[in-house]
Amino acid sequence: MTVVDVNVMVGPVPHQPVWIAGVADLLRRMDSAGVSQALVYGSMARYGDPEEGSARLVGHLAREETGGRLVPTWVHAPRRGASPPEELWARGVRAVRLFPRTHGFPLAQPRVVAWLSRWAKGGLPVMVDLDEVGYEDVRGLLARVPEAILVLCHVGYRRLAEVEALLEEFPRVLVDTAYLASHRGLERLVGAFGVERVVFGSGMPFGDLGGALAAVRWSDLSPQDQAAILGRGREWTGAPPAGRGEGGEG
Amino acid sequence: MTLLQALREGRPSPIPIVDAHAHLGPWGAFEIPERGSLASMLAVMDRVGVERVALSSHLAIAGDAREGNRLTLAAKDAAPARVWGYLVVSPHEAWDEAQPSSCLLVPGVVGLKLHPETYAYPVTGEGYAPALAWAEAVGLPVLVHCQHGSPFCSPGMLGRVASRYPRLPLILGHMGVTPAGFREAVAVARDHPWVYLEICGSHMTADWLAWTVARVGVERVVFGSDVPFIDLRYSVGRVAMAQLGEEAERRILRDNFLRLVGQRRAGTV
Repeated sequence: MTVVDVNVMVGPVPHQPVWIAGVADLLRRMDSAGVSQALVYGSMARYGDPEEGSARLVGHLAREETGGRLVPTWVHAPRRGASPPEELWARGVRAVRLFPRTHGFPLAQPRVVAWLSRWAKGGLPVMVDLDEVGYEDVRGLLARVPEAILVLCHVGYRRLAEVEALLEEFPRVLVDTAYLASHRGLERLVGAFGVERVVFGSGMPFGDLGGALAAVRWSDLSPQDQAAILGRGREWTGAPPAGRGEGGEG
Repeated sequence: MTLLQALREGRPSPIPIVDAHAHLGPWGAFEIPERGSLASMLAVMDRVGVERVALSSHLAIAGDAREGNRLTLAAKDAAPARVWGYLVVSPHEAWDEAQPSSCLLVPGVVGLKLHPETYAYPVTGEGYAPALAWAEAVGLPVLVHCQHGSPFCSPGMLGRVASRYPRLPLILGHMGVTPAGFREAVAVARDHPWVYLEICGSHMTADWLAWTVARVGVERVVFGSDVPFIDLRYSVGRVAMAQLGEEAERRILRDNFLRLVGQRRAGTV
């Protein structure tokens, strides 16, 4: 069963020890849980400089030569940076991540709308932790860019009703398993919206790889449905689709 | 087969798990799928390999201890091989009116549960004192919601309770909830040999679990999940991912809590 983790952060964090001690340690953790690939972003891009932090992560992963196992996610903040999809593809980036609350910008603003539309056309999913956004912010954004592939990450257990409403209204919204922590929440969402709306992500180091894997493997879902969730990230970590940029893995 | 191997293959835990922190039923602030029914909990327990949970109904921690405790006892009676009960103490009611001591000595009731946060009452206050003194006298474990920064039940406040009742088996539920709380809870456990740390909650990870075990010893860590408030599977998965070894996993997932419950039953506490 192929497992791809679409939600991993590496690097130091202000409020806790550095649990993932570099690329080798991350790969060791992935091996122990049977994870073949991961979409990764850098803590510097989250807590420091989004653009510089993302650029450094891309360079770092390229130098580490992970054989394509670690694929960079670009953190975008609408300040000065431009993140055209063609350029991201060329750098080996396969997803974009937004932190509206941490980076202090409104989600449903024209600049984000414009970028989201371009990323959607370029086949790049956009990820956002649910605690970074409000329900109306997401609705406001997706009402203007319904074609966007938006992954709600680390959704927790307190906002199930909001998550369900967004999944119902916007058919290209997905959730990840980083902390999909409502009691039997995975079974509930798959039953209501289909297995194609869930993608495996751990949320490391804030979420737990074993916890996310347990939610799927100890679920009532069929082996086929479990495999679909665990392997869904392959759609994003592979080679760029024709006409969407050049360049291989970072 | 290791616990992590079992997880990866979707097989039940090779260690029959005993969950020291569970609830039951719906919750007002958000929806719990399947209304958090006992049947839905048992379905997850079977998948994961959880032999038994010790639970207090959500209603009991939501303000109605009297009716909530009745629901807890009913669940225990409905599935006596799978469910133990905690009786919740309301600090706003007289101890001998709301929680008759005889009720606590029936088979399958294994402890008291205090939720000072929802009851908006400090765990160090007089409203809890009779119950804590009684629990210490009879050796009954007490599970207390423990939350960093709370004016009602911070780890430091639980430390004061432990000082006041030094032979009370005191379980710090969520061990402070946040990373800052984990550090405080570990300090309390180091100072008080009868304090135990229970590991469910949104910020706990395999790394934090290993960090905790390294500081207080594996014998002071107790497994809990908070099911159905939180999905049970995440909590077990963290233990698996920590890869602490079979003996440590068995102590955390089962033996430590059974020892607490058994000591009380044997009258050795």
